[in-house]
Amino acid sequence: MNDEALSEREIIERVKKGQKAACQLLVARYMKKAYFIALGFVHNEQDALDISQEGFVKAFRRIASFDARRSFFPWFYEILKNLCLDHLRRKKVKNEIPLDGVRILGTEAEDREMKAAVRKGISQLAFEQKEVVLLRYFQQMSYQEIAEVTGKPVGTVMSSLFYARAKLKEILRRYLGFEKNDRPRRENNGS
Amino acid sequence: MDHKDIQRLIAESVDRELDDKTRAMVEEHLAACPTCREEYDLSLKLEEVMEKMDFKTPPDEIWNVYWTSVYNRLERGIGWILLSLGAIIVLFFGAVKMIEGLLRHPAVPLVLKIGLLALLGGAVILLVSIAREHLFLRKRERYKEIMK
Repeated sequence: MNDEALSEREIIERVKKGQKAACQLLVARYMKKAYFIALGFVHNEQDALDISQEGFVKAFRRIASFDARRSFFPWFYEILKNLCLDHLRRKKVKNEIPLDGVRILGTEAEDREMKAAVRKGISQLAFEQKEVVLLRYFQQMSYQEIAEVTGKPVGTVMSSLFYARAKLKEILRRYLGFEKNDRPRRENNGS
Repeated sequence: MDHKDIQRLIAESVDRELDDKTRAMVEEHLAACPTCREEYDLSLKLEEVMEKMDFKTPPDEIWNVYWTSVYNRLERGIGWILLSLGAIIVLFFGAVKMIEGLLRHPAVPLVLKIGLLALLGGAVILLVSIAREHLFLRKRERYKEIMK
């Protein structure tokens, strides 16, 4: 059977037997997700790379205790999140989330301003809210997937996202073209 | 239905989670209430912006050597474990032999022997205490103080 077509359970079984190729396959499947999740928490590319790699090392060392009938990622996420939290305990992290140069509003200056505001907004969120925002918008996970990964009920996830959005709206209102108690500025400009 | 209920429903509407009946009800309210309408438009705009946000993607070389780095870490980890284990055994054996020699040596004064035993007793108590704290107490609420 082609290695790429192996189910996650089969890969885990092989990892448990100490097969190097299976470890490599598992890393290839989740390395980007792991890196970007770590990046969302620690805000530094090199640290995110180190932490995500260390996450895999820890996971392989503990793989014997992992139940292969369960999904790998929520278990791995717990390890990764704890490594990120350990890192945050040790280091004072800059609130400089490295966002990509995607065009959002139109001009480069507006995009820069918006990204700075989004960074500020996310950095001001409580940890649980930040976690949900990162998984929802930067990992494109559904409520169900976030609940599975974080081990929280769907209702709690929805509630965290509701409050996170409320806070982001408050911070970004002006940048989004809305002024408090006014009609949308951007829409008025167009009419 | 008050504004607070509508705020909740706006969030669900943005996530396309509303059934047709509730959606119609929300739209009816939005048509008549400029405050909620603005909140709805703001929510849509926020969603639009957040969905376009992404992290900087590292160059491909990073992904090409990613597995090698993980493997090196695993290998080095095993190396460190063996090295540490060997060092502990050698140092422990050396220390036992040295202490045994000092305690049995007739020329070493009794006070020094008592001092040595007290030193050993203290070290054992400290080690057990630290190990217990590390294994049991720190596991509880480790990350409570981290809010952001």
